[in-house]
Amino acid sequence: MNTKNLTDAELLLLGLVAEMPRHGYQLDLVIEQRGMRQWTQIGFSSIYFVLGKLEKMGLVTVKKPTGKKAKAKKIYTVTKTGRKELVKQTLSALRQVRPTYSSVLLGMVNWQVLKRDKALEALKARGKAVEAELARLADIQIVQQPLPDFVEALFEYSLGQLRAEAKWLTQTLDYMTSKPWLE
Amino acid sequence: MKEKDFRAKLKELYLPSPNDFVLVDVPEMQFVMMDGQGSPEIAVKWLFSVVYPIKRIAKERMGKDFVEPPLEGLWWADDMTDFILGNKDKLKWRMMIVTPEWVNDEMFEQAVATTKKRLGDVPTSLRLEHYDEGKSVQIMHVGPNSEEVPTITRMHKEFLPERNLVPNGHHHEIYLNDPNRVAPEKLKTVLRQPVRDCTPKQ
Repeated sequence: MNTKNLTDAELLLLGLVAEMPRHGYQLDLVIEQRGMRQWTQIGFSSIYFVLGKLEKMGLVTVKKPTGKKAKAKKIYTVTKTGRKELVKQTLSALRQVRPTYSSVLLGMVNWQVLKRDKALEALKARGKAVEAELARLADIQIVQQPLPDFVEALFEYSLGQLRAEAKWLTQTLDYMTSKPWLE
Repeated sequence: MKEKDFRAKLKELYLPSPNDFVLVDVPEMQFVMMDGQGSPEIAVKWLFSVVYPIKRIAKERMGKDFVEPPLEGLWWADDMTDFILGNKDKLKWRMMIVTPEWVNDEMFEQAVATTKKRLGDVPTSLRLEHYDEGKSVQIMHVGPNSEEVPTITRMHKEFLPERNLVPNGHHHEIYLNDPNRVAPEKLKTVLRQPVRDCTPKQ
């Protein structure tokens, strides 16, 4: 069977179910604990929706609670096909470069419509926001210790990108501040 | 130690086969450690937090030679029946994480000061100390920690007596996986017991 490309949310949940069988609430907890909520945009209600889609595709199965525990939660387990698909799509996620376009591009494109003070102020505000995001990520990284080395690398990736942006902001601000402004 | 020898030693110490008990010679190593009784949860939080800044320095210094150190624990009880029955609140433990030899008191104190800001009062037993086990028997246990007992029993009732060995130190466990990320049946734990010879006198 050829599964179409999974969405980010589908691939993430498939991976978490493959780690170990879990029920919906546990999955929600893990997403919260690992700080995945922001970058995956999975809310509690959408977990079941996504799990339902994975089940329809035959990538996960649900163990129905039996007997006395009829009220117990449904436990999701990865299927053989699911694991195969997870490996395939994880490799392709690593290989593929999918650029994300920052709003700063539009900001810079239209730079000329701005007054000098307002423009510089906006860039400074962006700098502050980047610093705050750097601090937030560094904080999560400490609070979540111990992290496996591959997750450390994941944090370093995001931190590295933010540091590059912080550097660009400093340079650009310096330059734009000191250059003569044509009004 | 040469790089290649170091890798081989690391593998010998931390990745034994799950099939058979093996004898190893464990060198003296330095650890960040903490002692207690009952649940070690807070100690584990402290250890990983203190080791975190040290790991950052180690990664910079060692580059690709850096290896993520696992959590290790020594377990014992004043009354060994509690140990055998697994009476958790009676069990005493020492939780520890290995550090490179060049980590000194100053680096450690600094890491503790950083962690104090986050976690509050520093536990009194938290320290940087060497631990030397020497000759030991070990095996890889694959599965939940609650299923270690048959293997430990086999070690103490069969392997040790058959070789005229007696325990010479605390039961030692090395937790290679995070139970939050790995299914119970796949969890890998090194079970280690320091031993000494006790050949009966003729």
